[in-house]
Amino acid sequence: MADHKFEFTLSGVHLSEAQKSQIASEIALVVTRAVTGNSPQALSTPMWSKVNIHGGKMIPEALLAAEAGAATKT
Amino acid sequence: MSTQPKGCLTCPSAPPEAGSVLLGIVAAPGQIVYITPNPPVTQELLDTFEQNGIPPENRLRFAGPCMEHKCMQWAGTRCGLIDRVVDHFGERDDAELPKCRIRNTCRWFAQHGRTACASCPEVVRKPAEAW
Repeated sequence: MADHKFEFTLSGVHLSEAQKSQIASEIALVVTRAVTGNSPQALSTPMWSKVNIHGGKMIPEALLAAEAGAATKT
Repeated sequence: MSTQPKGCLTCPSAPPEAGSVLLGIVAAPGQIVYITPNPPVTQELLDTFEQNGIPPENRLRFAGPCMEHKCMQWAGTRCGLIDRVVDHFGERDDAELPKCRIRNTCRWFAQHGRTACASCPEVVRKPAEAW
């Protein structure tokens, strides 16, 4: 498995949390564009729909509350 | 992950929201480029992806605390999603493991070990037709 390590250290300056967050965001964007291209399209394969493997969907809070209410009544 | 309670497992297919981290990039169906360390998700990061036309729930994977019974994929005492994926693809525990930062706390790895890692790249939150 190919691994690639890019390491940067910024020295001589105290960065604020906002600056660190901005740097992390910019790096994440550059990496994403390098991997997916400049105009990334949404992907699909028949298998994704066949197996319904669409990750973590949260149950709406209202529905959870309603279910909890129903459970306490029974 | 700073917002994750001690002992809580990590969902490798979490929603893109503050408190999550960017786990990897979907390079192609069934292929994920894992990032280490995982950049924290902020609204600024999500806005940046949106402004650049990157559909986050299709071309990116995020990790966050496993929500257990609050998640539609929860099946009694375990994640039903990775159970279905492993059922579909079968045992694949001979694959070389990627450098994944969340493995120590990963919900899917806890349930299926290396087989989960081999099947993990097959999952996206939304296929193209859902956009």
